[in-house]
Amino acid sequence: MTIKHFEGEITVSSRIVDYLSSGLYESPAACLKELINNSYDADAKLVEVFVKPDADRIIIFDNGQGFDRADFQKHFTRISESHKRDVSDATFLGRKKIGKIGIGFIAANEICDEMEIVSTKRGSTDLMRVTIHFDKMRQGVDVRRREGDDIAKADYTGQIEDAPSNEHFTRIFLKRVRGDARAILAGAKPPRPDAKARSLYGLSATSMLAVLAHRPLASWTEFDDYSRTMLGVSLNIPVRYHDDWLPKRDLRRVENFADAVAQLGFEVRYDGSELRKPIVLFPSEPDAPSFVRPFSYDGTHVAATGYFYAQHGTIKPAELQGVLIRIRHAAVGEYRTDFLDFPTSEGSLIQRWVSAEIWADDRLEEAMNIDRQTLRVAHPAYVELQRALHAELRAVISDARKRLYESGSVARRQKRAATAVSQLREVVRKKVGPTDARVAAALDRSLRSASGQAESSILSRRVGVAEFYSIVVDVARETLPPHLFAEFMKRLTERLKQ
Amino acid sequence: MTRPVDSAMEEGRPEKQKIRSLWLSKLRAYRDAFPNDEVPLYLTLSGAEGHDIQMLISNGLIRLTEVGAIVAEDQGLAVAIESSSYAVLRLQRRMPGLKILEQSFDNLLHSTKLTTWPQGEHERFCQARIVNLDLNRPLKFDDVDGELVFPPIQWVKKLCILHAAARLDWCLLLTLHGEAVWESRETKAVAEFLNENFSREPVFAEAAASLLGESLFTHVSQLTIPAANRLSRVDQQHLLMLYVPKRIAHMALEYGWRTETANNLRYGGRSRHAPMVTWIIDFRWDGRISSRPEAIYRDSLRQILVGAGSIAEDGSIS
Repeated sequence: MTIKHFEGEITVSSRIVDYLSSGLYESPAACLKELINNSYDADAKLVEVFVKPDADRIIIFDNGQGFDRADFQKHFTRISESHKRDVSDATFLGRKKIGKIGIGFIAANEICDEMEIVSTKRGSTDLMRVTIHFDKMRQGVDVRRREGDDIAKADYTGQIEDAPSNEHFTRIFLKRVRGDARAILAGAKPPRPDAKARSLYGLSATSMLAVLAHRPLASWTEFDDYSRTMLGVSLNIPVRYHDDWLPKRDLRRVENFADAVAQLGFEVRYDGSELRKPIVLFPSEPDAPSFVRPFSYDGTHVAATGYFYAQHGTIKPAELQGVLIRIRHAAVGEYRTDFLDFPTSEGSLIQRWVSAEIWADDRLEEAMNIDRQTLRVAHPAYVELQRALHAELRAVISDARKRLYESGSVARRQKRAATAVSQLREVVRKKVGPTDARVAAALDRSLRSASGQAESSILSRRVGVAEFYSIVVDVARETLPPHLFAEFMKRLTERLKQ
Repeated sequence: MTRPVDSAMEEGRPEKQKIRSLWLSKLRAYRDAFPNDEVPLYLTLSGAEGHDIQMLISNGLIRLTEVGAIVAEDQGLAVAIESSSYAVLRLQRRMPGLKILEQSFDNLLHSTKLTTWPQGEHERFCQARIVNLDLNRPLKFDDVDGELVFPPIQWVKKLCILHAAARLDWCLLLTLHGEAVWESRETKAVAEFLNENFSREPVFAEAAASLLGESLFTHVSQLTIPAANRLSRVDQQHLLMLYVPKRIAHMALEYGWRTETANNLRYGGRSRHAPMVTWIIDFRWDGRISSRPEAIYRDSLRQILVGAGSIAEDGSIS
């Protein structure tokens, strides 16, 4: 038999990059957070986003370092060849850069047809004004093919003007915002046809906390699209937490995570409202138990810290059930209710009682897909983190069974017994008191003394008529002479039949 | 960078404050008269600071949320027009939730031509109950095919037509530079237009004589007026106070409107401030126009100078 060898090189077509950089983001919120995270990478302390009243134009203004023509051409004119981390992995202020491959800005093409960037770099006397037209992207790929296998994504025109002195900023105007994106961003569509949309528009951080902490809030779907976009953005970006986002007893165990984010000094205002992390976790019942377990893992391929919060009862809103992974303070997608493929059969009820946030180190970044929403499940860092996280979740579930489920059932029994005692005392007061005050007082004393250990007595159970009838028969036989026993049972039975 | 238009809108000037207080009264009256409108209450060239919209806010016509954004229910009341993206940002930062059209007024109206028109929500914006054209420019004519055309008057014409489609009574707040920088030919055309009604409408002629003074009135009525750019500043302002509302009344009549000139004022021209003229003109839909156009026009003319006067530097009207 003749064996023929062959060899060659497998290359990536620019068509793939073209494809990947179109339709990359699943929602307008994902596009906005990319642009806001760019502001974070530019050391902005304040970002202001303007969407209302109708999102026909969106403005993103930041007081970051700004950029000039050379920066624009270096970072933005060739997608997938970003130099964001060439010089340094960290920003001037020491923030670890979130952006990596420079594809985030092109996210804007998914919600608008035109983007204007106006920027002045710190220390520069130039103001750069660039307008990018994304109309080109809507054309067929053959029309957009260029020399060297490149594919055109957009046209831009720019000019340099004199800058206002001592200012540095970037202003981004998303113009000609596209139909559905506009409706979603403006909140023009109610969440359900039969529901009156609730909106977070125009609320202060304090009021927003009150709304998010109010129970029952089953899901963010109770809000309009505008608010859900706002929540989706704030979940992802490195803004601080609300002051009281967990029950007070649990708060101190996570304060190092909250402090670390607060120290970044990154503030985002959305139509005037300050965005805070929309993570507000409280049990539905004010006195229901909850706990926090800090998480820390240092492995071969990944290290991570975080916390697991568990409460008695399902986590609400539903969007906070599961685990949220963060890399460099930016979330990877949303909460994973499956806890990175944790077996559904293990503690399936209690899984819905848990909400966790995990900050993974940079090694997990390599496992992150280009959309920053998902992770590659075969990557060693992912596999290792998954294993560690699952081990921790098992411990949390076990802990929750003891501390939440069982203590919850004791609490329920105590409550039921207390109610029964109270009702019995009322019967004694009304039916025994008028004819025999001494006996009534003795019975009342007896019932009161019973309330201390009542959770383990029959008083803490729901008792059926047959069971109670059986008790009465026993007591009557023990205390009454036979003729009275017969008469008592006859009358009691007749009464039950009425 | 402060633009001249923004300087002109300067908050502190008593004259400007006085004018804004007149605007406010008018805005209140229209808001009260038409509380359930589907069109905006107010369309304005507000400038980057938006002082006029701030005035609506501070007087409770537009309400704010606890973070200073315009409440959702009031977002449709005012629409600002601003062509500079820098000014758009400034306005939006001051008033989140404010509707701002990033374009020129000419662009919104699809130019002065009567062949192209705003569509959809832009048409609705142009039908606002009160339109404020606070223009930082003099009345300059364009020569279009031998006809003298003044763009802002053409805008008002298009506004008349747009409002006529909905038959919604409306009000124009118009402010211009008080300089009539016209050469002889243009000035003569203005005088001829003014002169048309002096003989048939004695009330108007008397008021005009009183405003212009004997000498200038005679020159206008005998068509011996020199080029307006050689007149004194005050005479130029007076000429505009007479010409602009008359021209508007004449033009509006054609589309079914009787005008009521509520205020016709001049100010500035002293120290570093440019001479200005400003008008508040109500447009009333009048069903009698098709049968008695001349009578309606004469009604409009008689109103033109009733509210004429000047605003002193301290803001008082005389």
